[in-house]
Amino acid sequence: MTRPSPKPLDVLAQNGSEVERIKDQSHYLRGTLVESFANPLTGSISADDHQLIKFHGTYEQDDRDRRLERQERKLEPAYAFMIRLRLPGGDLTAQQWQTCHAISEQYGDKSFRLTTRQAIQFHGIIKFDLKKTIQAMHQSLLDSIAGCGDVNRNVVCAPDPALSSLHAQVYPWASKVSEHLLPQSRAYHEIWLDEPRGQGRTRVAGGDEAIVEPLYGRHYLPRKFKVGIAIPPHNEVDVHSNDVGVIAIADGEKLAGFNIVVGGGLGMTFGREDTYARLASDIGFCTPEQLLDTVYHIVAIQRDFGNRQDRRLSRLKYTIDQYGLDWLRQELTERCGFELQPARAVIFTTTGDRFGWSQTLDGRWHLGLRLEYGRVVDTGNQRIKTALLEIAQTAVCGFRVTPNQNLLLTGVEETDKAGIEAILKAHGYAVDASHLSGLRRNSIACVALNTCPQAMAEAERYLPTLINRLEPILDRYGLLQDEIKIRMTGCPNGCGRSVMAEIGLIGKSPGRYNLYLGGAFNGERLNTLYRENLDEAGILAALEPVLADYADQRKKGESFGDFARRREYVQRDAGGIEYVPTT
Amino acid sequence: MSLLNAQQLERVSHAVQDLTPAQLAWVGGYLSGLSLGGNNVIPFPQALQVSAPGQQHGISTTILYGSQTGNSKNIARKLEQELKAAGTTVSIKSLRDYRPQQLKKEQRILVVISTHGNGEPPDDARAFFQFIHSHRAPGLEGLEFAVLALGDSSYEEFCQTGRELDLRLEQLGASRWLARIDCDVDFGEDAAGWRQQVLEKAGRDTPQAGGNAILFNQPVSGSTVQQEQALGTQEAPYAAELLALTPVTDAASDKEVLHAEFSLAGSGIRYQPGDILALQVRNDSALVDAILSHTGLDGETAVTLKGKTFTLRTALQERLEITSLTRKQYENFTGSSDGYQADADWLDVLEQHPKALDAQTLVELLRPLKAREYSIASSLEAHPEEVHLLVKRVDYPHNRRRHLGAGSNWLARLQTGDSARIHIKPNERFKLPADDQTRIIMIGAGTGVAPFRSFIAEREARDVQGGSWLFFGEQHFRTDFLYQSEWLQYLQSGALERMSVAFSRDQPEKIYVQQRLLEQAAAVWDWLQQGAHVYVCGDMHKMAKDVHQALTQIITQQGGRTPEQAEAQLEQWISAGRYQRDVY
Repeated sequence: MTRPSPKPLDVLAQNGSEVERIKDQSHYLRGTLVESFANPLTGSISADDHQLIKFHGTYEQDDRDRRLERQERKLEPAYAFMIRLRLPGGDLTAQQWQTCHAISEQYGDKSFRLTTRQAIQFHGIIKFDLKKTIQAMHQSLLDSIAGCGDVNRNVVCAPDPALSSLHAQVYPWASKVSEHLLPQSRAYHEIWLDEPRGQGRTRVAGGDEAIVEPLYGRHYLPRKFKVGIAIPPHNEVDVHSNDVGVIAIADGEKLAGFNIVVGGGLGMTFGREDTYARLASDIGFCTPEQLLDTVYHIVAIQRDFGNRQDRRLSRLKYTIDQYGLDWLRQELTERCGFELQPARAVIFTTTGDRFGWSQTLDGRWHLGLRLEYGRVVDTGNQRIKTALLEIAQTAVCGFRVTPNQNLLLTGVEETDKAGIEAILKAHGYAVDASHLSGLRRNSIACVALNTCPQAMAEAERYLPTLINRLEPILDRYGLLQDEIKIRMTGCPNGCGRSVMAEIGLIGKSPGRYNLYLGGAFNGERLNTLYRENLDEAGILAALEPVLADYADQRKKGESFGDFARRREYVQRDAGGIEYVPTT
Repeated sequence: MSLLNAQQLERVSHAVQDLTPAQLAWVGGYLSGLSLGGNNVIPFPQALQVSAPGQQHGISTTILYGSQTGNSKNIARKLEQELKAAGTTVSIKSLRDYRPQQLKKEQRILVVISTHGNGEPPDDARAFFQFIHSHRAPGLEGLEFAVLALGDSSYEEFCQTGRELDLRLEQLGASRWLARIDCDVDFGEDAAGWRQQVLEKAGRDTPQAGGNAILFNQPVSGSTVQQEQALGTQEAPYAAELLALTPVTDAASDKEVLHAEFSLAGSGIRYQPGDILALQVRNDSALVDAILSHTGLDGETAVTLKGKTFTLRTALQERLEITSLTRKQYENFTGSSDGYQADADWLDVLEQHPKALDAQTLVELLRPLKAREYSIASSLEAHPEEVHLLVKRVDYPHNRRRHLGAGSNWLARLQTGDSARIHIKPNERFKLPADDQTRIIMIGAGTGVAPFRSFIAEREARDVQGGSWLFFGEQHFRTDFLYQSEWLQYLQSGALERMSVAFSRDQPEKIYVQQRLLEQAAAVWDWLQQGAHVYVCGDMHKMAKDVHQALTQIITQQGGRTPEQAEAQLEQWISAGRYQRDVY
């Protein structure tokens, strides 16, 4: 095969998609955003700006529950913006948490969400409040740059410092990678923070104006890009779901370097046989000093070779599957000027979070809190939002979002533990999640309806109900406390990583789901389609015999996903590319 | 102790102030005759009504009208027909087109004039009023006049314009040919009575007298009347089917504004953008029940209203105003105007001032139920055989009880398929420019935007591109942007060129349409320079005044005029129909 030639930087791709044209004409993500936000007649923005604003960390959405009603009332849809903070590794100070609380109250829908990529999302912000929201974020040193869009997104990282002595050495890399891959355009600062044009750009005298984006160039990436960092044997970040997975390798108590896996991506399109979920492939090992260069050049390779004609086929996974891993290694070696070493052996055991208190070597404590689908909201007697605000006001801990939509309170002194527990208790919250079934503790759902424009069915609003119906079945077979991973998404795009669940449910239409089984508990194997288009009764009827069989026939320590594969409820997924661990 | 109270004394002295000694002597005799006659009204001696010798024959009569909604014009035109039929030399003119200098040459004028806003003349008559109140106004000795004043007794300044005119003509030396009559919103009978008086008196003035009464009672033929029958009238409304009724405010809004669509299919009813639709409404049966229950009266009791018999319940539900009362009514009922509250309904007043009332006494306290009038929001060109309305539902707490506006809540209770009794009220003073190429600036707050939907729909149907600028104000962008999706489409299609909005409560400081006007002063001035017509519709107190002020400011600043010149310019535009207002 002749070597493919790269797309020349800053030259518009031939037959490029509409988004390529928009980026080309955007003047580095500015477009007509200022004009769109100044238009007082609509809560929406222009079609081109709709694409560009994603790069600023925000999506235009509308309340889908109310579309028809608004139309009948001769009102435009209830447009609002979702804005996603960039939080490498999911870390916030107590003061920043208070800012999030205040933003959700003042501009948002009174709640906010912790995402599967350790970000925080606000929903329901109307156009006229978005700038004020971003300014409020900025006051607390928070931003949403590259929260979405065809760039590297929020970098996720293993959250729990108590699980590994390596954690303190690994965790800062999330921020370093994020900063290293950050777009350089000052559009965000000019549009939202009123920075005068040109002021933020440090330019060498006589330097070329074109070098606004040394990495991304004028057209950015063909599609979104994700980087995740895991510390074995824990895999909360589902490291193989990332475009670039970074796996910390220990040398005794010291960080030796990282295994690099590439080409993960869970999104697929129903009805498009050429789209598929894919777990990332090993390409080798790099030292800590080589990490930034390695990741940077993988991004650059995808920039130059990724598909810019069909956005359904433009993630790195398709580029790799088109040209091959050997080609990628060769390109990467040439660009980096060094060769990756062979990948080291790695064992993962789980993708779940631990709840309750745990202690690190420095004597401090961490509290893992289960939040249902990341929702920070008061409901009835469960006033978790108020509780967390009060805890933040005491300023005795940091806040860290986990990749399972949960929360870690970090760095708590022994003497402050009781106070935190008292606040949580006062607001109806059990500190460890032991009162929840194993299935519920291990559940993830995406936001879906009513705000996500992609959703075809409910997820976050429905999964709790479905689990209510499943729990009596689990109880019947003695499985109530067993860790079983269930995930539901409203579409096959994969935000909730449902294709990696032991029980995966992907919405097809309102009230109907495809049921997938056989994903690995440790995140190393995709699941496989088991039944299509099931309603709730169908889901329960399909799952009960498998669960009954599991209770009866499982081997010691065998996870539900492994069991489903062994008993051949599902075969290897013919459509997906399966990850085979290097051993 | 004085025999007369201050008001009575004032009225008497006013009545006699300009009488000659001989006339005073006569009046003295007349009054003592009255005092002997008890309650029997002594007919006026014929001699008193006789005009100066030599004018009994062939007196030329000019009917003048000042109309805002077309009522005065209709009455004037009926009178014209009737006088013509009786053989009188008569001409008719709108005060808009009438040169006041002409007054000097008139023999007899009959003026029908309405009052608007806070006792202001209709826009048509503003220039005329300014003239006759100026030092240029001529002496009018030798002129006879009669005034029919139209008004609404729910306003403090009831029939103010007619009263002022009546007084001013007298001050200028003219003689009152007939006593002024003040008509309330149910003017039909009073106006007919005035017309009859005119006919009878004119008949006695002319040698051919005698046939007038018969003539009057015969239906008058003529295109005007036929047209009115086709339009539906207050007396004979058209039953229009309700096709659709939807709120156009978001469910989360503090208010509810309804969009209603009625069918005119097969009725032959025509209207123009800017016209008004009147609806004959019924009161809420719950409020009627509460009044009956509080007073202990039986709803089946027979009562008489203007000679017709109804049950008390029907009278309260279909004939009489119970959701509001005027200060005067309150004063008449309680003996003092202290404690009057505009938000109170009759149930509040009856509860707070318990009295034993019989059914007939109760109904005589009440004013007739008005037809509710709303600016039409549709265009026959764009919405064939339909008429649309935009109505804010009136619903407020008072005395720890919900108070529901009669008209809007009657409308809200209708189901599609129900019929409503409607008639069109032409609104001559709120019309698109004759030339489609004339630019228009439309300023509306709240439901005041309704006629502008009819304007823009009409212009789009006529393929008029651009030249239109809408200023719209409400409380909240998200919930109260009335007809938002339609405006966005009109902007897209080009039927609407520009739109400026002010949402008063979306930011800490309140922002209203007049601020948007001022922000765009240069562009507004540019449009005015290009001959743009200005339309204002909405609340008189809150908006129209401030908009007027803003326009004055724009002309002053942009046009380099003095405030007086700017004011005069606006007055001139009002008279010329370039600045039209439909405010309430």
